[in-house]
Amino acid sequence: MVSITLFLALAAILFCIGLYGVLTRRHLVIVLASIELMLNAVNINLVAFSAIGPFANITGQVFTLFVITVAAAEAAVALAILIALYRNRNSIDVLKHDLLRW
Amino acid sequence: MCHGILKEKGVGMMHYAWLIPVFPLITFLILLVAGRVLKEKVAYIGIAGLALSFLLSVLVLLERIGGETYTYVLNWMTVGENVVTMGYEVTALNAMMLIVVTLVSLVVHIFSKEYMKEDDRIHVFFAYLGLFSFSMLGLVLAPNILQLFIFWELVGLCSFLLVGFWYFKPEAAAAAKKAFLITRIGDVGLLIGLVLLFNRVGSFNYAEIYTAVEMDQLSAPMITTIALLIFLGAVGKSAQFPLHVWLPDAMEGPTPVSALIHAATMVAAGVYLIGVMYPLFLASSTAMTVVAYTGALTALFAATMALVNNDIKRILAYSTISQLGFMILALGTAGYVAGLFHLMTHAFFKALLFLGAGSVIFAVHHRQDIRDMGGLWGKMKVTSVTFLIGSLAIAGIFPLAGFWSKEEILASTLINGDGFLFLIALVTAFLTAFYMFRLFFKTFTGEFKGGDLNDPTEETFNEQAAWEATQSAEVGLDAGYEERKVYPNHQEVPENEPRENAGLMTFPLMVLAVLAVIAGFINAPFLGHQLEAFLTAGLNVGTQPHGALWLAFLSVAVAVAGISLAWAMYVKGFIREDFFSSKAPSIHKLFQNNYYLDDIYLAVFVRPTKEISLLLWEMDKTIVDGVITLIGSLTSRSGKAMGKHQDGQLQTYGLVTVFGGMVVIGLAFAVRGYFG
Amino acid sequence: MMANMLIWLVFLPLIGAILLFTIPKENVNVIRSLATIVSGMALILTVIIWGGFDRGVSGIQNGTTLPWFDLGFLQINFEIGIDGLSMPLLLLTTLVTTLSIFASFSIEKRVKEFYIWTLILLSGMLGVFVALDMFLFFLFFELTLVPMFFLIGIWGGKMRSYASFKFLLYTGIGSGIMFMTFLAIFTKGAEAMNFQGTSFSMIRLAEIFANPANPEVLSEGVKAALFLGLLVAFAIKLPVFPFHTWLPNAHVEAPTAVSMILAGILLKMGGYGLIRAGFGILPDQAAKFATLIAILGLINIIYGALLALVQTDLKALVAYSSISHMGIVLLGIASFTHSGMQGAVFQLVSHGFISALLFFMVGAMYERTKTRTISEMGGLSKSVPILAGFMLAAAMASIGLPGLSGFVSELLAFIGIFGASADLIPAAMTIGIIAGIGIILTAAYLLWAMQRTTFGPIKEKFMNLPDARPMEYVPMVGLLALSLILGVYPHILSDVINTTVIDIVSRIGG
Repeated sequence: MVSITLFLALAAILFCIGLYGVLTRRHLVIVLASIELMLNAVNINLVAFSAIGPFANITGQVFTLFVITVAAAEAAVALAILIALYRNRNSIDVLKHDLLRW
Repeated sequence: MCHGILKEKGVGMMHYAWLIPVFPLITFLILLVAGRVLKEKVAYIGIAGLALSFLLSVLVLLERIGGETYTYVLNWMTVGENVVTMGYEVTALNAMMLIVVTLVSLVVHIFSKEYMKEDDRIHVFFAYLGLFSFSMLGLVLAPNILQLFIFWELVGLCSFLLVGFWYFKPEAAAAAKKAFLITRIGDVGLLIGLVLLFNRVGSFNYAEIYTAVEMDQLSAPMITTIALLIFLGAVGKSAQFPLHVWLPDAMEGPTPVSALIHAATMVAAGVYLIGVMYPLFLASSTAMTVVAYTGALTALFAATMALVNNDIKRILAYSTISQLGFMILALGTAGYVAGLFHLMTHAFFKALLFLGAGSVIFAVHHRQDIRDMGGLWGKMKVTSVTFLIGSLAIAGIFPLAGFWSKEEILASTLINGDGFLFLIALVTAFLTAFYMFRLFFKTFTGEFKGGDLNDPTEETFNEQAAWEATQSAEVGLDAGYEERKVYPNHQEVPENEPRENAGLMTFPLMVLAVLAVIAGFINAPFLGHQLEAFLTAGLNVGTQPHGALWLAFLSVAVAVAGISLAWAMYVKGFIREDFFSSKAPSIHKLFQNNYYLDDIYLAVFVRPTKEISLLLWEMDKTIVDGVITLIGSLTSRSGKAMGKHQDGQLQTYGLVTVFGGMVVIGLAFAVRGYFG
Repeated sequence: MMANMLIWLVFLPLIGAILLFTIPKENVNVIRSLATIVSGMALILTVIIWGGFDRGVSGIQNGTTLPWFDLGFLQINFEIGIDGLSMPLLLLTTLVTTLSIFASFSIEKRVKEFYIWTLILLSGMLGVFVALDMFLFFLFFELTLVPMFFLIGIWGGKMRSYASFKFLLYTGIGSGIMFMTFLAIFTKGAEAMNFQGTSFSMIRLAEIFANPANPEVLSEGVKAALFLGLLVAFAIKLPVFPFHTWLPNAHVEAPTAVSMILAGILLKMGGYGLIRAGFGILPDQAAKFATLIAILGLINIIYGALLALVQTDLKALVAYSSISHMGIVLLGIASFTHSGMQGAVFQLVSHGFISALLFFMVGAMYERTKTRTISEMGGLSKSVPILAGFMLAAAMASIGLPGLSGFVSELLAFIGIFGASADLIPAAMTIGIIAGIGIILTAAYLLWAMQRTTFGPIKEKFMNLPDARPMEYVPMVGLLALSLILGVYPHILSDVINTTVIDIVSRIGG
């Protein structure tokens, strides 16, 4: 039996990579991809706890399915917004979009 | 007597006494609404209203003689558990006052019809006169001191309006303001006095106040305080020292106004106030002493200022102050009847003198400097003779009205006062005779010094010139030229000689002259002191002092001495006119400048107040407002400083959030060991 | 029946405002007449309520309580009602608002919005005067803030945005303090009742706080803090020195009609709140601070008068005179006597009419001369005698000329302060005498202003000014007549106030 700690460590590493990407990359598509990475880190956690957690339960796997679905929908919406943004502003550089600044 | 007949008929005139002030009020309202339409007819309405009031006053007086005091009140306001009432009351004193006020007001109305006929705003003038008559009569009829105060303020308002009637003259506007403000100082004293009375007596009614004083419900210091506060009101209204400075300036108003308000009626209200509050004053010897000395000093000071003035109206104004001082001196020395008797006689002869002065001023085209007059005796017969009668009356020559009342004042000063007061009274009587005849001789005898009446010289005090000067300075000559028609004196026929005025102006003079001759007899000793019996019946105002026969002779002798001195100086020239001024120029200057009181007030009260206010305003803008502005700007500046870090970059925000979260988690570990 | 009328009265202007939304903004005359009709209906309703008001009852009458929030121990009710304190102010509100709507016909800019805000403001003001639940009171109090902010900020003069923000900040801070104090009062009341049957009702809270059974929760210190909180909150509105600086700015910038409402009604909410909440819930604390309140009142009277004396702007002068006159309210309530308290309420009403009239006259003069600087006017009696006459009458009313309402309130307040018990205010006599100087100063600055604006020689450019328009007679004659009626026969008003005042004073007298 593999210890749960390994799964959690993998998820944490994956999450941090995603977080690093979200916070540092200027290309919005990559930021989006990094978010997907973070979501997948969460999924790993959910599946791991569902299989070998202290209160092993099917609910975790169900939630993973939900997360994947929502992530897909989110990616679709986000990409649509990105395209619209690119058409309007000719750039998807994060630093150039601070219109809502005070 | 007539009252018997009236009683048989059961008319009950006193019940209708409330109508007396209502008639002038109605004329006021009519003129206010329809004045512009009625134009020159307004005078008839005003005269008719006052004539009705006068007739009713006569009927009321006749019924009151031998009758009882009549009171009628309504609830006015509830104050806690106390109910304040308003209404009217006919007492002996106010029955007499009604006659005085309505009569003088009536003759002044008649006089004004002619005097003001050329003024565009004659309807406003008569409206104000109506309002004044209403207020003054309301004051007189008041059954309680609060109602008196209400009308007291209203007459002050009318005085303000009428002094400032020629509002476009800066002097008139300033004088109106000054009159209102300075009397207001006294009024606040009166207000506080009556508030203190109310708090202790629970009522404003005269009757209840008298009872409270009799039953010793008030402590002695409180009685003195209240009496002095009420006296402060009288000092302001009756232009006593040191609040007298407004009255000479108030002469900026039209002359009929000076006769009515600033000689016969309103300024006497202070004396009347002391009269109705007399039991309170009698209960405090301190207050009586203050009253007596204020009156005496005012009488003397004002007389000295009258000696050196050259403006015919201002001389009369100082004379009024002096005579009011006499009345107050009489009241302060327990001469209740003497003071009020002098109030009545003075009302008649001083109104006569003012109207006479008005007649003169009208004839010489609105000049008021007596140095530009002279020689009017032959040219203005009626005015001259009546003016002489008035002067003799005020000087106290037997058997004119002033003699009887002045003699009683001297008697009360001698018997109840001290030697000093008597001496002041005597000196003042001498000065009165002197300055009045200085005025008379310079105006009516000798040669006319006015020159061509249509060529007013620069030295002349002249409303027209003053007005035009201000106009040309302000808006150019054209506007000033248009304004001319508002002046009542502007006669189109060129003439170089003053001449007697129309009958409407001389008739009032004759009426008042007759009264100035006979009014004194109602309290003459040989007729049994009729007025005294009438006024003191049922009132506890002490025994009235009566002088011995030698006092009457002394009083006449002093008056004759004064007249002779004036005759010697101004007619015969035995003594040079500038004898006094050259011997003691500094004193002469002191008198001429009103003892520098105006300047002292300006330096002591007006300027410091203004300085303090300006300082406070600066403080208000810098400190009080500054603190708030500082707090506001601190907030917005710190907001701006923080705002710089809001760069709009999602990634920065995310970074901060992540670090913040890590710090929170770290803290949780550090403080509590673990999440447990 | 009457209670329903109160609800109708409060919401009628709101309904009117909603109706105004539906009218196209080009129909200016329709909008104006609708606003007039709505406020006129509110006026008629108040007159009917006034007619049915029982003068013998000292407590609340025509009360209604409807459940509103119910969160367990936190119960907020829609509780309204009137007594001798709020009845005169209700009538004042509808009268002054209606007359100021007449005065606002000259406004041409964004007419529709103007009247919408005015009607919302009217609802808020009426709500403040009928609300008996603290939460509801606070809600209506805030409801007056926003319309006033826009009325000054959109239709004001050159510095309007500064003035409106200052107004919003000051009164917003006041509201914040008020809300916190209300919550604290509620919490302390709830603690005292062990969280059983508590409410935001001011009437109920007054009973709880008057109950001596809970001493440890309601210690003196706590109660004193609560009272001071209320005092500061309402002092900003009244306004009391040193929280007064928003008022001159707001007045100078506000359009005439808004100034009339601001001086005529909004300031009165401060005085009313102080009596209703401060003196109603914490009468013993009010008595403890009587000297402080009296001295604040005195400072207001003198300070306002002195500052008015040196103003160069006629409207600022009138604004400072408002500050001075509000001092009389403080002086009256501090005295804890029947007459003083009555004088304070009388002053609230009387000053409502007089200041509205003064502001209207200043506005009318400004409209013609295009200046408010005193030294630039002069001799206006010549070209506009009727307006000048009314302005003089307004000044005289403000000075406290007998026969007009200002005198009665001054008299009552003075009777009060001179009759104040020495235990409450040791130096009452001195305070009264210094306040007397304030009366002289009032006469000084107003007469000085009149002398320099309407008297004296006229300037050529003012020779051909048009005198009063027919529409201007409505507010002028109306306000002056109201002041005259109250001055000549104050029984009309004192009758309504008296029983309630006796009740308030008796709570401290024991």
